[in-house]
Amino acid sequence: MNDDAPNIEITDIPSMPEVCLVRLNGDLDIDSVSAIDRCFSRHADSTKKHAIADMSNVTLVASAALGKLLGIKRRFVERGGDLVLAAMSLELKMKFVLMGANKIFKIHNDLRSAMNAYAWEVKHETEHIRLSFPSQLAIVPAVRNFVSQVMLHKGYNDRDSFRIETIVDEICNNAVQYGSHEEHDNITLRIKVDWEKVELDAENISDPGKGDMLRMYMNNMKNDVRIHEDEKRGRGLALVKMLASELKADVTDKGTMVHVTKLKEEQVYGISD
Amino acid sequence: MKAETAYRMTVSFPGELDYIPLVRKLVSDVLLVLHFSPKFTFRSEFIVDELCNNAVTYGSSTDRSPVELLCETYSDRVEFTVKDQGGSSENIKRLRQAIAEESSGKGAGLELVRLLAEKVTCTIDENNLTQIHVVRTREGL
Repeated sequence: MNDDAPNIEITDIPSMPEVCLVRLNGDLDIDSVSAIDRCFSRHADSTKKHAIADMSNVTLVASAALGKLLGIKRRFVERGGDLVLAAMSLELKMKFVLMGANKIFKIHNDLRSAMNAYAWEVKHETEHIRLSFPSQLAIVPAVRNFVSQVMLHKGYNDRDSFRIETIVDEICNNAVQYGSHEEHDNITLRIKVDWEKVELDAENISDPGKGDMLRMYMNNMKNDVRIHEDEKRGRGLALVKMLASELKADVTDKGTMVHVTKLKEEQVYGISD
Repeated sequence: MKAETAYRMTVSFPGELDYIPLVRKLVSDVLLVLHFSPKFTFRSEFIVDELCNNAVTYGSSTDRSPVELLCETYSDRVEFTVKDQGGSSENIKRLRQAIAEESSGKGAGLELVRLLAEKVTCTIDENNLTQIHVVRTREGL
């Protein structure tokens, strides 16, 4: 901590060279404003485009200090970055909401979430989620809902999330239907969420009795055989094919792996929310 | 669905607090589908929340270390196992203390888990990989 700025300490984050961590402490009142400014001018060099302010030890933010933080945020925005706030107490967060400051600053629950948000939004790092669940149709809605919520959480819009949910529903239902129902033969769903696309891999263990039926089904899908309008089944994968950007299936004697790629709608059509 | 069968579900997710409500909801939905009561489900949801929060907050050596939750359901009980990548030595020491002392005052979350569950065990290996196992018996048995 600095002798002339007891309420502020600026440090580097080793894994993120372009980000600095700003630890603020105690009451940020009118007396702290010039000290905060001095500390920023001295320590936050121009190579740092982004700053994460750790607010966990802050007890009060006076309007003058809020104004100063706004000014600092503007400096980072001008460099193409941002100043985000993290780990605020509930009381302080409520005050920020009442003042409308939550509309200006991004507020994260904790430091790690702030760092992860940076990795996701700026560095566009990929996130991996893996689910293994019993081969039971009744479980699929819970899985589908979980994936949809993950998509919304990662900034995919309602339409994309709904479409991904539909894809998950279909590939998981097929995995259950054509796979083994033995106690330990779970279905594995791997989700790779990217800034611009999501990749889904659904894998099941084969049921030897259903192999031929599945091969015929996959052949029909590959050859684009039209589904007769009286046919009750078989529309699912056609729908997945329509919704997804890419659909691949690998059927072996051991099991089936379906790989689906779905581009974010904004990437396809250039739409932004 | 046969209640006697053991079902195993595993979720591996990035060590980030924002994922926890989603994981908690997934576990809750699955337990309800497997005919556990809403009360049992809600209390189990609390256990999952607490264990995952601890794993993310204290048990991740890097920003994105994954956390793994294993949920095993039997006719008479549910078992949860949460594995993380291990945190700092200070956090590991704190965890050992919280496990050893029944009422340390610190780690109130784990204390509540202990109240809700029949068995809580913690394993920390030589690489600081932490695993917490909780057994919760179905009510009314």
